[in-house]
Amino acid sequence: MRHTLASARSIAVAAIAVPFAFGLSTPASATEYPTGPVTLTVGFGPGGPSDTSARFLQRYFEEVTGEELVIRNLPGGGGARSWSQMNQDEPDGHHLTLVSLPHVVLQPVAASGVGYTFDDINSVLIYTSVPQVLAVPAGSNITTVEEYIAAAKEAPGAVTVGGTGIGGSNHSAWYLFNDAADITTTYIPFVDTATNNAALQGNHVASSWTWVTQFAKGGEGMRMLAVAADDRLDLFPDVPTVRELGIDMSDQAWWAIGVPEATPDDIREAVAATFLEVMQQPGIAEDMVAAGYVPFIVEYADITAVKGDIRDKYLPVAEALVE
Amino acid sequence: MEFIGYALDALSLYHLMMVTIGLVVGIGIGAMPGLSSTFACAVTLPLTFTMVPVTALIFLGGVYIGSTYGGSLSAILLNTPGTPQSIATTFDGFPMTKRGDGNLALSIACIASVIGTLVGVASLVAIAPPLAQIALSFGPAEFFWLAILGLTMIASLSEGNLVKGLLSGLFGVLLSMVGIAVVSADTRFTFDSPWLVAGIPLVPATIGMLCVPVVIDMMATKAQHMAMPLARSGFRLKEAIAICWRSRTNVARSSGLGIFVGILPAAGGAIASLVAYTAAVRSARAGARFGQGDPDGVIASESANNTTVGSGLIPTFVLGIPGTPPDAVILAAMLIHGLQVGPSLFSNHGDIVFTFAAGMVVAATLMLPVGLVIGQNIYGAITRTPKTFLAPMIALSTLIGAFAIQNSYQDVVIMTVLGILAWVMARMGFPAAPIVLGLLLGPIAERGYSQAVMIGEATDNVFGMFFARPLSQALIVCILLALVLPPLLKAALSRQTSNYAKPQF
Repeated sequence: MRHTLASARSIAVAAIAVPFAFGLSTPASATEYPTGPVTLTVGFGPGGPSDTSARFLQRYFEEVTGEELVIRNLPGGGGARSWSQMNQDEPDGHHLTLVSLPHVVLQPVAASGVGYTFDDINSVLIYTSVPQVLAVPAGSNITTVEEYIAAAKEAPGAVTVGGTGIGGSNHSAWYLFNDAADITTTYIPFVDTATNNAALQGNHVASSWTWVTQFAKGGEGMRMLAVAADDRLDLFPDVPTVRELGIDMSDQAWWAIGVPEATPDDIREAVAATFLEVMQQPGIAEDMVAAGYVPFIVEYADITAVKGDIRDKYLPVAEALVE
Repeated sequence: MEFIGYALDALSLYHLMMVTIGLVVGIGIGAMPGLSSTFACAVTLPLTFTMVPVTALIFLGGVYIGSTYGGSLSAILLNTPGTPQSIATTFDGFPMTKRGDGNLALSIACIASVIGTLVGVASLVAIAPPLAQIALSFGPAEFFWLAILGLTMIASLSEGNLVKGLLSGLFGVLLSMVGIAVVSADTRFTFDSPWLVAGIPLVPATIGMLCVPVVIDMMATKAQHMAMPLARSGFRLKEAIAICWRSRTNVARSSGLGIFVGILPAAGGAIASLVAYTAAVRSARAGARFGQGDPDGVIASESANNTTVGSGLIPTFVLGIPGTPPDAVILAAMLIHGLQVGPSLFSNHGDIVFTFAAGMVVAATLMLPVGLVIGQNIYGAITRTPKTFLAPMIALSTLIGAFAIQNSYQDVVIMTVLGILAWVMARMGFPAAPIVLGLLLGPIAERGYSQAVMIGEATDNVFGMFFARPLSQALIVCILLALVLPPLLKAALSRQTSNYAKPQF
């Protein structure tokens, strides 16, 4: 009986929330949106940090709009498959693509022939961020960043560092950290976050750059040395930031809602307003924080400027990674 | 005592209903050639948002179990694997159907699936933490050797035309190199086409190469699709149980291999069933007729792939690393429902783990009647359907399946092109299954090799990476045995096994 009651209650909540949400969203934009199910293409497989962030949106989207948000996983080429095709989608606001920043700055430079450039990608709203962490196996005799740097200086190149793919965010964090700390290590690319973590847990690499989400999930067998965020995280108050240890870098990923290039301005605004409202629903921020995400929203009006800043920071990194 | 409480919770009317719905939906999706278990779980995930966590897991588990078994229906009846997990089921399942034993094959597949599921769940409840540690001891070098061991399956399954089998396998490895390489970020064999940047998508390619030739052959030949079941109709359950009992060693070996392959990240049910099938062929008694409808082939494949449902959840629950592709969806579901994975899941949320496990036992038990009834009804329908309807129906189902997984028109084109290519190659004596094997294992071998070399160079010990680690050494011994034993055995048994047949591999 417990279960039946629980689901009945959430349906009731949805029923109350929908008209309320409509009342709120009308003045935001004159465009009626959405008028049917909305597809959000995710260029990664189900279960990773990108997909999971989209699934949080999916859970609340229907409560806000009464329409379904369909997640379409289109993995391949480290996301390139989805981004090289997003401009061929219908520009009606109902065919969206998840955009990972700074991934779309780094990848077209670091990997050849991915089929898109940074300027091809149009996004309307950044809805969350995830900081990266430097981690070692739980049994490692390295317990602090100082010891880590000392080990790398003692034998340049001998410390192995796992990360997801070439020209991805983990790869850039590896570069930025090494550059700021003035050390040399060997980067080992893995196919996805799960196998990167498995290699660390199994002691096959000496360290890894990965995501805070992996520790919010459990993080068995791995230990964080430092988080590359601007401030310490509420979720892990004991883990220092890289910057407070005197190494001047921070690195995270941002996720944005992308639209096809031909999308008219009023539809872009309506999409941004709707997803902003989804992110403002009671509960979603708390749920995402508990899963390791850090609230970070850039609204439609500011998105071009922020994207420019991100490009300016990461373009030199991408060029350095190619060498 | 506590477990009884969890079992009672799993047996509540509401849970029974959700498990049954999950099973039926899963069997339906799994039986459609082209729709995988990962798709089945992902497409039903939104339905679980309003459920409490344990119900959501039980429902998804039911979908997963059902779709894994469902794939065997089309594998046995149509020679088209419904999901990649049931590729090996076609080798003997369809020949059984052809000679009029389709109903028996279905019952055997159902029993083997139920046993496999139970073994997998038992391994999850009883020995999850130590097993997860085994998964972690596999590093890049071990994955490389493991993939090579997998590729030796080609050699021992396609004696007779070994060279053509190996060439097919290498063609599969070549196909797997298309796209952006993970380790080097080089873009290979894309011919500047954005379609190929991401590489050849595995499920549409597999389904295309194994299903499209079947459809073409159906249209191109006059022969009956299958023999009519005359005297022995019905479930033939007693017969099926007797066969499974006689093959209990096979069931035990295949489920054991299912546990092992399931806990390895990046493997999964497809590889597990192929490995178990090969093992069954290699340890066959004299007089076995693998490839011509030996029930042991169906038993090996189906018990192994269903075992991975439970064992794949071991690294998922303990380490947060999906053991099989559908487990990634289950992991996402747990995260959205606010469940932390890790060994603490077993202590802090023991109620959820054990209620879920009890739910899976219930699902496996329910699958016996549900699976049998659905299977025999489909069997009846297919025996009554003339080939002129059957061929376009399968073709349509593969087209819809290839499209639906990612709503991608390109996948449909890739599936069709590779399917026609596989048919042409088969006409020239190049079997399709080794191509699939190469496509599955090629990337694992390549990544493992490159990563092991990179780590070896960093630590100045490349040779040691490959040859000095105990697990690698054990795998190398297995590879040597796999290459050397079959010819020796063949020589020793050449007289008795004159009717030994090669699978249609």
